[in-house]
Amino acid sequence: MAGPPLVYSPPNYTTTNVLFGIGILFTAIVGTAVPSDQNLGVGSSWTGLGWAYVGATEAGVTVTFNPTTQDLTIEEQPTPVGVAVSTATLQVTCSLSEETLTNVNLAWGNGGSVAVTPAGAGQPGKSVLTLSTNFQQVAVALVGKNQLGFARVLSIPTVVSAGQVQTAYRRAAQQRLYPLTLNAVCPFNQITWTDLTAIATS
Amino acid sequence: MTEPGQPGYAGPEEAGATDTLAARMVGETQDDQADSAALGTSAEPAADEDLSARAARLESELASVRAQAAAGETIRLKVEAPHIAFVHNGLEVGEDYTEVPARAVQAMMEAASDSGVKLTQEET
Repeated sequence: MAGPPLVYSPPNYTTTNVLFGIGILFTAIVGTAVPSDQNLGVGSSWTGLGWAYVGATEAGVTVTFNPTTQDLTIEEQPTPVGVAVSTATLQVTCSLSEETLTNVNLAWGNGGSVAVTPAGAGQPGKSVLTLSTNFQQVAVALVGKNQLGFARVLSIPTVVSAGQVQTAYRRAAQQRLYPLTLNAVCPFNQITWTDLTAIATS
Repeated sequence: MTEPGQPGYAGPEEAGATDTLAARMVGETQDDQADSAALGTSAEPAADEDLSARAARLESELASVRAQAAAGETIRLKVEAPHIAFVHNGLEVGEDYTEVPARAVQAMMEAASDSGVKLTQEET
């Protein structure tokens, strides 16, 4: 007598969890409050609190988490008996497409300052960015849209802009770009993802 | 999605909103009302103010309070001629006295000095 049939029944996947779309990158002085939960998806709520939108990018924003690990091994077993995290880096990168002094400064370490002089008699109006290698820490928030159409926010309270910045001045091949590399320098437990899941009940 | 004016910050008489900071802010007890007046908040809606307008107003007030709370102690600085503005680390100081977080003042003064810009701190 034959036994029960051998069933092949994999679980269903959820296509609506497959997400795409741009992220909106904001920066602010360290300690700047994020908007209330209700307004996490409202751009003006961010800028109203002092967050600055970096503007257009060449190819969107990339978040890179890169832990390195150390295997703990014993002679008696070929596979590790444990894995310890030795270092972990978190980077937010993009190529800024809007060439403003603010963006140039941010890409070049955020250590500079901009002095604004108005136009006057014999004096054209001007803004002068004075650079500095005294890089200033900055807070970062990346706002994307989740599968419900609500905001999903990655908040990194403290990062430092430190990466190679190479800008090509081309006649027509491409716009001038300012690669931005933001490296997290805060404890990992201060970094949060906030996902809005439902509107308030009243 | 999350437009201002959506319900959620309506007020203390609506129990469903009491778990939000905004609701707590506007749900002052009598002891809190002096603070509320100092912050320019008003839990009592104007007679002709609908819920959406009231929610938007309270959101704005909440944002202001959040910004103040986050900034902590502030110092008032202004930039001297011939400049009309000075920007450092995302903070801008104009010709009129501008609130700057106290923790950021030293770096801003040093940066101004490096840039040949004179900043003046308001005497208290």
